[in-house]
Amino acid sequence: MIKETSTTPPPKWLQCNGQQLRKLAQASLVWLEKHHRIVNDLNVFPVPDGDTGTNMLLTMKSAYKKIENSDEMHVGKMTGDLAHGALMGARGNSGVILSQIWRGLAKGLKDKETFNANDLAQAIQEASDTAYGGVMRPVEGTILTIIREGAEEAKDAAVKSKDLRFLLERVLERSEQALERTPDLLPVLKQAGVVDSGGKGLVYIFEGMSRYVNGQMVGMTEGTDQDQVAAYVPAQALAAPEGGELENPYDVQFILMGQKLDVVAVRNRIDAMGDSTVVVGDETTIKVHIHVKDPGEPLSYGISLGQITDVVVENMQEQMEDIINAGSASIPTQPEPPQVTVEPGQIGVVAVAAGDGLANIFRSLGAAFIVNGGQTNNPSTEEIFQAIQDVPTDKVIILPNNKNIILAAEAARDLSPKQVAVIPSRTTPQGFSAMMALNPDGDLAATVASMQEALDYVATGEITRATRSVELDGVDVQEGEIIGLVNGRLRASGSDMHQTITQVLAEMEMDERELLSLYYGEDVTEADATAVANQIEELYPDVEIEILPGGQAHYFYILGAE
Amino acid sequence: MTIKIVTDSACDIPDAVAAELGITIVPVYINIGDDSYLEGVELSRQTFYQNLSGYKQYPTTAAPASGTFAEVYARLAQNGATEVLSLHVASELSATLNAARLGAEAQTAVSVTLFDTQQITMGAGLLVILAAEMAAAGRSVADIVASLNERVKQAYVFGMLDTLEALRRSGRVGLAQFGLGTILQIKPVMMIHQGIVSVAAKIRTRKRSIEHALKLVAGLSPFERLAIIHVNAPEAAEMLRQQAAHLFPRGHAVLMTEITPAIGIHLGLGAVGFACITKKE
Repeated sequence: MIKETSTTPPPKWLQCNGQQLRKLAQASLVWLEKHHRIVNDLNVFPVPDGDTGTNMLLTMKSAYKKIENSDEMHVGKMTGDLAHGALMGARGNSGVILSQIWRGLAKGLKDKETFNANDLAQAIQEASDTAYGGVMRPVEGTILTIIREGAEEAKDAAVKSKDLRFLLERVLERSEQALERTPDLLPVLKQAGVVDSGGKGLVYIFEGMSRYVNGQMVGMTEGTDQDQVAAYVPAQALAAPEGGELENPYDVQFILMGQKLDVVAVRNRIDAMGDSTVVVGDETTIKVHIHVKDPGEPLSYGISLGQITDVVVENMQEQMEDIINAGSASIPTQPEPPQVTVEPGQIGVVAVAAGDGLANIFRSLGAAFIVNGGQTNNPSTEEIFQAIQDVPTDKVIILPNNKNIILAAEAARDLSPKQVAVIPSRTTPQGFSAMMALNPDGDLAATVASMQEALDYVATGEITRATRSVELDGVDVQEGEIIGLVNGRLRASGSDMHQTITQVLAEMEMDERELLSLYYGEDVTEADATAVANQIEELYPDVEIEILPGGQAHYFYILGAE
Repeated sequence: MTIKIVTDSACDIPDAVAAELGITIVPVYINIGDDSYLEGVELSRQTFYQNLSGYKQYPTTAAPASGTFAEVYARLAQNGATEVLSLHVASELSATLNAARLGAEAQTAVSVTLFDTQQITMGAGLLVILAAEMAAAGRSVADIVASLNERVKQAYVFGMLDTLEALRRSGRVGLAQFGLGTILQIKPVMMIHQGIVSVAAKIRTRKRSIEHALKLVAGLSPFERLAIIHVNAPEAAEMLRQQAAHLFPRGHAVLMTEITPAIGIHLGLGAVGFACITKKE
């Protein structure tokens, strides 16, 4: 849990020092944490791993972690440390751009012991320039627009007043306006009826800072001198005995926002509904956590007192059964890929894999190091950087295999003293295709050129479940439907998996292809995948089909057509 | 002075050409189950490939007996040979050259000069044909060998392999080092040059693999000699011949042969490619 900020700057705030900046960063982190799920939900693209909020949060967490115990007073140094933390922890496109914003800010404030309004305005401009500079093709209607307009406003505010509080307020207001206008700049946002998620994340960051300087609450209270504190116990620790029936199987969490709330009264009421009660907060914000038989009970109670947000309801009985069953699940046997050894002077490849099966395949093709994408498939700049450093050669090629990882990979490349090249693979099949062109003993530039060329040899299809309803690229999507993407673009949606796959294959021009590789995800069995392959064979009898366990999360099938 | 040329069946000289140039071919053994056959003599090429997938145990190859070589050299001497030049498939990949050496040492009828073509199938065959032509033109063995030493550097075989299984099974090439893992389907373009087998390209589909082989070969033109080789893939071979028509050197027959089982077993059914001697340095 994050500490609540209890000290605020003086009424007339003209200079900001390192510690005050630390508090500002802390406040923005806490406020972003509180709202990051809202940011995730704004993702227009209805795919399960579009976690802008999570990525920005993790980036901010990494930034703050660097300085959480620092007593540095020099604001330039403090900002530099924050930026360094952000840089290493950056993940996802928005996360990387956010880290560039911090980097620009740090550049602008480098030699300042303290900063005033003018200094800050200049630094925010520097932040904007750095952010734009870090992206190959800047797009308006995104987080870039927000920081750019924020910088404009900051300059204007610094002319009108020397008060830093005033500047922050104005920047926040302008950012909110710019955010509202993003649908006018980016047609997909208008189509989906949302504002830009990355922009929203940045607004929360400014908002957190503004709330702090105005003495408003940003987060949960914590500290041994407060009696509202309770440690937050994760659900696993409270699991019932193996195989047993849980008395209160539903884990319910939410944040209650209202006026003049009585924490003690709320706690008593909630406690009577079930067990493992955690209720902490104050008169405007209360975090509730309880295990109940009927999730409706605590939720209805919450609504009767105010508004509820960040609602999570989980079925722990099911989760427990999954954990027990997972031990007996059969994992398809695969030939053990050979240990890939790289000699100094050779080219080593770092590949990002979204699943264990996919990782195996990359190794079998000669990848020296695998970065596991994890559940969110969004490794940080630091993780990629570490991989580069760990490969025992000075010539490294990175395959991000996901369009959301390319920026983090490029940031890692820029950090490393080695000769590093990023092949901008946007999908796993593209990554495999590029691996075919690898010659470990070849010249780096020539190898990069052939690997880059190989990206276009394959068409990629992805089958997953829609996380939102949206109309995009002429496709009408209902939340929960099976959607199909071809080369990253949404092409099909429907309630029938087979139907979606058929459409995707047609879009991939299967009748002109010779080979289809079907990589099935962690939620799909080999039997399911084989059944799908048989159906495909009926449609395209001349195509050779490979069925391979990919083990990836979220995506039922990844298809590669060549 | 009569120089006689001897080679083995793995060098793939077509019978007609052998007859015309007076080349003696010593057959290699194909072992199927418990039985052993002399290829080209006791075993028809086509029948063999057609039945290949049906054999319970995958066939293996074995070098001719050294005694056979001794006999062949002695017979040639009896029929008037004053010198023998015995050219064979790459010693890195086969024990045949060694068997020939032992055979040569076991007889005194004629002086035998051994030559390692450092090639396989028509890659070796084209070199043997050149040697025979030079012998017919009256060149000395020393001269021919000197010339061949240069020609070896200009001899290449490129093949698209339809499956990696045969090569893996042959045990003659370490595939892991080329990133030719066992998980994804790969139809590589292999290259043999100066006794070394390497992967020229790792490609997933037949169509693009053949295209790549064509591209590689075109890059080596003009040619002194060019031949198309295949393992049970006559249509693909014919298609290649048409697409490569402009590369064939004038004045020489367009050679197209089905690769002998001794080599074909290790390349796998469906393999198709080129053997050539380039004019380039």
